[in-house]
Amino acid sequence: VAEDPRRFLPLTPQVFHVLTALSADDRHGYGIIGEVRRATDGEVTLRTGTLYTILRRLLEDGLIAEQQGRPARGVEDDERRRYYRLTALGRAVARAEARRLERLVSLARAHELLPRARGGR
Amino acid sequence: MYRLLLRWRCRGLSGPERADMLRTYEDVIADARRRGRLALIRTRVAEHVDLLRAPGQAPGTLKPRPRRSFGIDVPLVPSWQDWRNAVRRAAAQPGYAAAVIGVLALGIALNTVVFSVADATMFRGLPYPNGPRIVEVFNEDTGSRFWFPGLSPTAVDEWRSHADVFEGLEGWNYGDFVLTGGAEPLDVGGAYVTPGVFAALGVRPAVGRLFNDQDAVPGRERVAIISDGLWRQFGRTADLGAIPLVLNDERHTVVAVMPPHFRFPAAHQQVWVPTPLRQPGDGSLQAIAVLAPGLSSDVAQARVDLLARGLNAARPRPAGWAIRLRPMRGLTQNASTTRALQVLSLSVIVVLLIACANVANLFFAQALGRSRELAVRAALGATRGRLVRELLAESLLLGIAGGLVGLGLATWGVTLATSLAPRQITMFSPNEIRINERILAFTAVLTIGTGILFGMLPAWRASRAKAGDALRARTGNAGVAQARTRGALVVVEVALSVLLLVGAALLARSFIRLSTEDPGFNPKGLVTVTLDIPTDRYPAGPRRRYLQAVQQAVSDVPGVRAVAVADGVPTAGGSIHFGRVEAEGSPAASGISVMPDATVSTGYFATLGIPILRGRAFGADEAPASAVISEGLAHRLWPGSDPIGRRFRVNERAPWRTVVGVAGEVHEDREMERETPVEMYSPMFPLAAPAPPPARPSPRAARQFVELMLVVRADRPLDLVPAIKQAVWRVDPSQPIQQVALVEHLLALSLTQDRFAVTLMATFALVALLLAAAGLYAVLAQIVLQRRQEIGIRLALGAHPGAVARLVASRGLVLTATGVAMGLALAWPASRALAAQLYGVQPHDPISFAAVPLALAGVAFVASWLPARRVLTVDPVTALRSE
Repeated sequence: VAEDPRRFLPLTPQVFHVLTALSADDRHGYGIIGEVRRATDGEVTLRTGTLYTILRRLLEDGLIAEQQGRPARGVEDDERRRYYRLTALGRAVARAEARRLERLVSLARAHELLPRARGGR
Repeated sequence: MYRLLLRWRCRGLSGPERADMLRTYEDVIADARRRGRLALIRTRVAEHVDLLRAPGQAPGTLKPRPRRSFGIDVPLVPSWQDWRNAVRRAAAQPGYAAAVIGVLALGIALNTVVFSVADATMFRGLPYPNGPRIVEVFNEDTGSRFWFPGLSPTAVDEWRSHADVFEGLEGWNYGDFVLTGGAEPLDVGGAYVTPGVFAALGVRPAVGRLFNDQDAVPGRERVAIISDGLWRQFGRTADLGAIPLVLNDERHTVVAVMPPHFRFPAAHQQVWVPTPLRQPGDGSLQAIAVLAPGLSSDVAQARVDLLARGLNAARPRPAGWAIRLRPMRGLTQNASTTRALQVLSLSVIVVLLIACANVANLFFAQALGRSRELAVRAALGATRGRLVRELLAESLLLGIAGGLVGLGLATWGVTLATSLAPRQITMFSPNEIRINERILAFTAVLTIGTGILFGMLPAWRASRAKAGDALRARTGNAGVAQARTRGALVVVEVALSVLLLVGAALLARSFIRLSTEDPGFNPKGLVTVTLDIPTDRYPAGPRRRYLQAVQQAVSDVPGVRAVAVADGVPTAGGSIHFGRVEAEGSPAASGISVMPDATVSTGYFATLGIPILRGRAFGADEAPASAVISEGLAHRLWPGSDPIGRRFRVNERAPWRTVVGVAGEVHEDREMERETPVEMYSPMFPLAAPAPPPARPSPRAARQFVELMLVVRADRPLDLVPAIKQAVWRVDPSQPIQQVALVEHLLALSLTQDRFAVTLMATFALVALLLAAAGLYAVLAQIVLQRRQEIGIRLALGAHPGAVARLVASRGLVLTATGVAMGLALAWPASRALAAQLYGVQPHDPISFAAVPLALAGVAFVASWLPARRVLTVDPVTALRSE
């Protein structure tokens, strides 16, 4: 009984950032903050309170899950840290949101709000 | 803080979840710290605000929460709109806004300045990497448990071997250097240090290398490390070896430059010269030690005590082995300065409390004035959160403005304080004196927080009250409870200012006593000329001949009335004995005394105008063991009998000395005055010269100096200074003249610290008085405003306006009287804390205790009468119609 990922759309930008940050790697809280900052060139800084609000909701909705094993590659680790991973549903939701955004962007292009893709020929 | 907030905001989270969140927060903070102080502050604030914001969606409480008893159900963060309203409102009441900002700024600035100075000089640890582990090491006299600086090389060697206690043990001593080679010879402060001192502190030079053991070996190339400031005078040349550093006529090679702001032991050390642990002669060094890692000073002391007991049993030595460790902080050397700063710190806390009470009063009054407006708005549907947020924005706006002005004032004040404060306070500190952000933040949060708290209270009540009640309430009786609160605040303000005023009055009276007191000699027309006489050029015998020739040459100068040679004059120079003084044939005194001892030539007593009460002054050929003692010492050793010809010694190791004369008391150092004054004088040119006067410690068997003064009496001494110098140079043209000073000036200088304390206390007291008066004024003005109607009715019914005004004014005087009574009750026991600072004035000085209430009554009268007079302007008709 697959859930329809579109049920969760639209996502707030911050939720989208969190999902994207978890798409490649499992991360702990600070790792997510760092990844989002890196990916947006420092434009988006998630605050701890906000991040955990989002994580809590994503956990409840089953978009992410807590990673049970501890990642071996972590150079430094801390007992207190919890790691989060994207569930299949979460991945589907992120993808659906990305598609939605893509459609919005092409709409903007069609109305010449943005230059057309490939140099605006 | 964040942890607490987290607990509060995120109650729905489990323990591990919270731990994870906290861990992430710590990472964020650690990362911000790496990016600098500004980023750290910004991140901290943003993180806290983030946690506070959108409480309805705080983690773990996603579902709408039930309304809690506390009542906050909307975001606490004011919106843009709230801020705009706040600015508009403040602009509409410039007087009120200015008062709040002024009171806040004053309180914050005063507090920050005094605590910044106190912190740098008293409380803060050493600014060296090993700072927390560094202790000063003192010699402890086994019998008296009296301790003093200076550790013999034997003791240093012994204690260095106990690596389980000390990681390092190093010595240093103050040094004064004459820097030549520039346009004119320059006096620079410096220190002789054992080569390992800098490594022990954990500091590194900015340029160059630290000393090594070879540097201190006599006969090697002379080296020095200089301060950044001195380096700048040499043009910051990169080639240190090329710096032409000539100290006390010896070329020194600069091996390193310390970083800017490096101070050891204090601010005026600019040169450091290596010295071996074993000093020539019997010299000893002041010692500092680095404790072994993980050892607290107390634990180390306990171990040292145990070891010392063992050493005393195994290898007894006369001085004993006991040492005392004390964590090194600023100003350890001067107990009186520390005490002065403690008194100042306490006083400024009182000023801070008064400022808080005043701010509370102002905010409270402001909010009261709006309670009806708020009630109406609440009735019309404004949520409580909205009203609270708006008030919060207003309080915060004024608070932040006050804080910023306070910061500006404080920055300026710290600069001012460092330039005004006596050197005893600012210079003898290893820490640089600058604004202390933590104290600034603490003060600002405290004062602004108080204001907000009191500003919100009535708003809270007003917004909760049933609209009907608030609207129906007459202004006349709505504020009974509030008026009581405000009255209480004024009483507290008055009481606290009484406390400060009494302190200031006591200090002022003590200062007047000090500065007008007969010093026991005549300082007018006395000038001292300090000569540093090189011992290699003038060993003991030739020095005597040389000085006699100089004394003769100077006395031949026309206009000079008398000349003497001494190693000190009252308030400057001389030496000091410690010990149990003992009269021959009687048991030694039970307590340790501090006894100033000046070595003086013939004619000294006549030149200074110190009367010889019995016996005689020193003659030309005096026996070395002769002594002239002060009246106080004579009385103490032989009460009621003639001391002439009898013998005494300053401690059990000192030689016996014979009293040849008794001199009048000289009041020189207040610190010692507190005990019985016990001065003595030794002859300058004894027949068979024994040990020469103590030379200052020197790095090698190099040039040593004996510092002596010519004391000259003349009618116009300053005019004669060139002629006196010429006379000195006629005897020996190569003798440098160190310093020329008027004794009157030296006396005034010795009062600097007291003057500083008095000025500060008086400033505090004045600020306190002003704040209290302003508070009183505000309360009464408010009363007149609130009771306008009642006053109108009274006037309409034929009451005499003067009688009504008196009614209002009497309220002010009752508040004042209550405050004064409380203040005096506080000041009575508190003034005892000042006892040590007072001279010639009792802590319970009746004049001070009587003058303060009188002064306050005067001020209170004005502050009460001004608003009371407004009654006269009340027009009954308008007052009644205004409702």
